[in-house]
Amino acid sequence: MSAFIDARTVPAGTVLEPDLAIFGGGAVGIALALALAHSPISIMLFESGGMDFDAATQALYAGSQAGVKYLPLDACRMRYLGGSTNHWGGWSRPLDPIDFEKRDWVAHSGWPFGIETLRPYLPRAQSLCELGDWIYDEATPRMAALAPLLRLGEGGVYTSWFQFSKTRDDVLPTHFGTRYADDLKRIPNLRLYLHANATALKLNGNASGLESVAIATLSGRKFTVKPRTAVLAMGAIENARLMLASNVGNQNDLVGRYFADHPIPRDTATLVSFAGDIAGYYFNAGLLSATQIRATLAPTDAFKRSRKVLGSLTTIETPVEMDDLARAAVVTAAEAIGADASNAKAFSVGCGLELEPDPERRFVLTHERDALGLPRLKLINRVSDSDFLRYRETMKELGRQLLAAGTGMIRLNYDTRAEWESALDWGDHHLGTTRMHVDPKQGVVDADSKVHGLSNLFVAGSGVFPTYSASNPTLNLIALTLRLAGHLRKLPR
Amino acid sequence: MSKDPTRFTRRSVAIGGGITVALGLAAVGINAPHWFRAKTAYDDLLDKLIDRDAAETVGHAIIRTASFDTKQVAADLRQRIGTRTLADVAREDLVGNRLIEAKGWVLPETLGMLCVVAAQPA
Repeated sequence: MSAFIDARTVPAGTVLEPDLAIFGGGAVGIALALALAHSPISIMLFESGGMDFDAATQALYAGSQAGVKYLPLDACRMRYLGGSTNHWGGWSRPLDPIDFEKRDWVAHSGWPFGIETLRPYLPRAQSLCELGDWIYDEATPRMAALAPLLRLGEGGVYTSWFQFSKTRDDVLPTHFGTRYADDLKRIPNLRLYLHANATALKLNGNASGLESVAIATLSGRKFTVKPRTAVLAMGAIENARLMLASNVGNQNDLVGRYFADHPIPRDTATLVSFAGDIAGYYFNAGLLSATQIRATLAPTDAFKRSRKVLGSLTTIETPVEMDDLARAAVVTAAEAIGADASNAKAFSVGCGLELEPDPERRFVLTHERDALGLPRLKLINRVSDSDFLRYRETMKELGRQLLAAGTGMIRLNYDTRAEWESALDWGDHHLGTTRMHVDPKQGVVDADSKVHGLSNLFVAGSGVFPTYSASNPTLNLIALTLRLAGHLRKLPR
Repeated sequence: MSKDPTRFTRRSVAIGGGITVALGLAAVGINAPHWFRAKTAYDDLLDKLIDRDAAETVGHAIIRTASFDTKQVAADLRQRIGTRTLADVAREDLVGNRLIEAKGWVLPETLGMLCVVAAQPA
């Protein structure tokens, strides 16, 4: 077992020449290194942070923003080994087949391949995330046997299932840095550098490939990496930042555009169950075969097609009081359809939304620089009215199905854009800044995650997702990374 | 004969007593019975509602966002409901995705329209 290397001890001016350099030691970088363990490729992994949080390193993330309020750029991700798995919630679900399709109602949609291309890599990704057995929507009959599902009339919303990364002690999902540190140290063909920041990408003379990457530490040490092949795995925001700052891969002005996250407006609706209590697995993760699993409400693919809506997940949260109108609405509706609402209870509803890709929701460089001299980013954030309205349509369908089943009803709490924005939070899921497309004019990377026009530079992570789904990205971006590992294994040394 | 202002007329007693009964019923959460309500031109429709007070509350929430011609609404409702039960028509609305919102509460359209009539029956 070899220790990690502190980049602050590397002699200034050193030139390192691995077969493969991975920049970023989050879930992607770690999964990639583990996948290529024991291969004949010499690998170096460069992580900006150390083993723990450090305020000065984290401050390198700071940036500004305009438009729809977003999270501070230095608070929505983590910059030390394990990356943002150091603060993730562990929610996991594979992308749905429809997520890969070119949908005529979703601008800029369509992946270069379908779910079948990703599917072989999902079991290993599931294992790395420590998600337990592969159950997901097969949980329905098994969980229904434990406690009844929320009965819905026939229609466009169904109970779908998320699984959770393994929790330990105080509910901490798998933190890739601490969880896999020893495994990384045991990889004979890997050298992992901590406190090593990539500050510039330099192309070769005819700009056909990456020649070198400048590395700097906050202590002032500088050295160079000249890899045969490199993978940017620093997260969707930081990958775009380094490419923009280095003017690499941006010949079609696409880097940094199409940014997305999952908006999580709070308390979007009030759901009333006429019978009162609802099965606990709608509120919290429950155990099924030692796997943590939670029910959500999601639109079916058929509903997405027929009503031209996007993906979403709806969660049932906490009990809420009913006001006079709520009681009147419940009495009136229940009596009209012949339901017994004498034990009715109301619950707040949360959600996560898929956004439509938007090239103007983007990051741009500013004149301000961080401690290493890299330009800081500014986010121009936008959410279209239609993104909110499409989700509202799905919620209205849920309300229709509850009434049709005679089991409950729903109040849609937000109508105006101001109301939606006032309740807006975000999932910390950074997507889309280096999107994948076979056409260089529509994507930064090709179907193999290689930067268009460059022979040896790849981008990994959810930044390459052309569309975003409502599923949390970690499981899926790791599967995509494992697919990339397959390509890298075949590269000439 | 001069009137004694301290004496109640039979009519005012009846009204006062009615108010007292109504306040008492309201205090214990019991809705005013149908026989206590003034007759309206839409009772054939409103009789389909079990809880007129609740329906009025819902109707006011709907009226807040749009104006309705009660006569026309009632005519449409009579045609739509005919001799069927409200439950049957509500189910038909739900299957046909005919919905209306009362300050966000999603309801079958026919039921919502009945509530509108309940809220402005005059």
